[in-house]
Amino acid sequence: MEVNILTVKGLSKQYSTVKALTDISFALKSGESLGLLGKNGSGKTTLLNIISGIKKSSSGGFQWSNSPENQLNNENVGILLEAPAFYPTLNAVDNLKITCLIKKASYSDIEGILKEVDLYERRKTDFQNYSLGMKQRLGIASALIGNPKLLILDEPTNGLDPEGISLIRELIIKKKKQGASIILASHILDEVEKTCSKLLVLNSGVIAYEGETKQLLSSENQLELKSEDLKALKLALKEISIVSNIEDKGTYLLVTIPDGVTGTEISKLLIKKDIILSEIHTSKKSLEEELLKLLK
Amino acid sequence: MKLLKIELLKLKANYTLHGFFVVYLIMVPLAFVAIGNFDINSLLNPLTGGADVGVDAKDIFKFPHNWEVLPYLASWFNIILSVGVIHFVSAEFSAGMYKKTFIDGLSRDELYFGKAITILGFSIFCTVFLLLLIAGFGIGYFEVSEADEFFNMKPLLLYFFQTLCYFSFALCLITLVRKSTTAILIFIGFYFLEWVVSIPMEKSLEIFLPFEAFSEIVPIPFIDQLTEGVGESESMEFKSNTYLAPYVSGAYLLILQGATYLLLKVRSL
Repeated sequence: MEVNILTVKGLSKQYSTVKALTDISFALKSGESLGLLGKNGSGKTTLLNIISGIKKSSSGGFQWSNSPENQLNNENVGILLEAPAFYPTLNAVDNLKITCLIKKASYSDIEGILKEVDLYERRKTDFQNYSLGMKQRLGIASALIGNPKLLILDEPTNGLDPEGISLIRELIIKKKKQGASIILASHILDEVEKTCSKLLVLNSGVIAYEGETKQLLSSENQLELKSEDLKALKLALKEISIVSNIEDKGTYLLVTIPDGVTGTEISKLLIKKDIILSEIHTSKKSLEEELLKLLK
Repeated sequence: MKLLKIELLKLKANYTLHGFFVVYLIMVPLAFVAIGNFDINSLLNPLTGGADVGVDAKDIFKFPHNWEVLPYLASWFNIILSVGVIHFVSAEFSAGMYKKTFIDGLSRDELYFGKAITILGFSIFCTVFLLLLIAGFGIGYFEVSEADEFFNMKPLLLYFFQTLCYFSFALCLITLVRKSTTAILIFIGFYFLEWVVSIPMEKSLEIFLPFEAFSEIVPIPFIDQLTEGVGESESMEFKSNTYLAPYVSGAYLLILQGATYLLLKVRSL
């Protein structure tokens, strides 16, 4: 039986007059990866700060499997929150030595990790002379010290170029394959879709969606339908109950059908109504569309 | 050991702090040599009311006088080193390092102890430096027949305690306000505020002000000879303040360390 590594129950956070989080509850099982999505100010960073033990909740709480209630035992945990913080006048190696000392990891880990994040050539450069992307990669390197079983990452690809984004994404996927659990907050939906099996969407501090990523994306499919007479096609589609959201795109109609219903079935239903389709394309709904719908 | 290694790594690259210590390491011996080239009696005239302390200028380099003079002289540079402590700790706040090391796994207790051992290390460093200076000058100007007493560790140990008090004040202040410039302004402002507050105060009450108590920890050199030249009541005040200073400062030290610990324990990082 899979065990919950994190259980959050009724967690709320109030900043004077602003309610940042309201009654947040979810669980994360060992080896799962959770994508945290939401607009700026939706409460993602506050939630990560609370479950990392940095901020205190106003009510409710959380429990990590290896820690006392409302605390995180940082052993085997790699955390990158917001902008990476390091000693400006120390180079990458010395900064990571500090992380190694704290995490009781060997200094010998440093070389390999710096190579993984493509900073090995600049290992002797002071942190203050790094570009934004290099700083971010050093932040990831620090989170990876000690081969953590859990990674908590807040916008890990912030400030990275496409090559850097791809490198970090591969690293996250690699850690996931090695069995690490991951909590990832990001605005890059493609990144979350590719790396996270579960999603938690926050809207103004309230859970807008919590569940499997594929469930959110496959609950509805879209069809692009073309026919010689679009007007007649539209009228016919209105009579088919399983079709919804009929949008006239000028040269074709875009409709939504439930998961499990195929384009062929719709085509057959239309033939019965004397409508012959000239073209039919199936498209999955994107995470972006689903997210925008949730956050409306 | 882990905390010590972490603090040493941080110190290694804090060049501004190195600068403060370089100033200290240069200024203390320079000032000592400079004083040794003045007539010590005329320098102390304002305090003695013209009494002769019976020490020739160059004698302050010799045992046992250098045990008294050097710690007292070095105590005037504690402000510079305290500003260095403020800078060192504020650099960590501004770089977000308290939060970073906490999320990496250092406990709040360890955050406090890391800083406590750092200021303890600074105090030990300064004391050892003075010990070497005293030994160097003492040996260099050694005259067998004149030195009745070679060792007088008390002023040096009191100096060690005094630096701990000043550094604790600096540490507590920067932990409270977190911004280097604000903390330095408050530190210096407090010094002057205390001076202003002390003007209408009785001498016997002044000792309960923190900086006044700290400054009285290391006794004024030749205190016995000095107080011979002043009235009996003033002499008593001198001596009672020197006696009380370590106790009052000890109380402040505990309060400052306790407050620093609580600030790191309770406040958001």
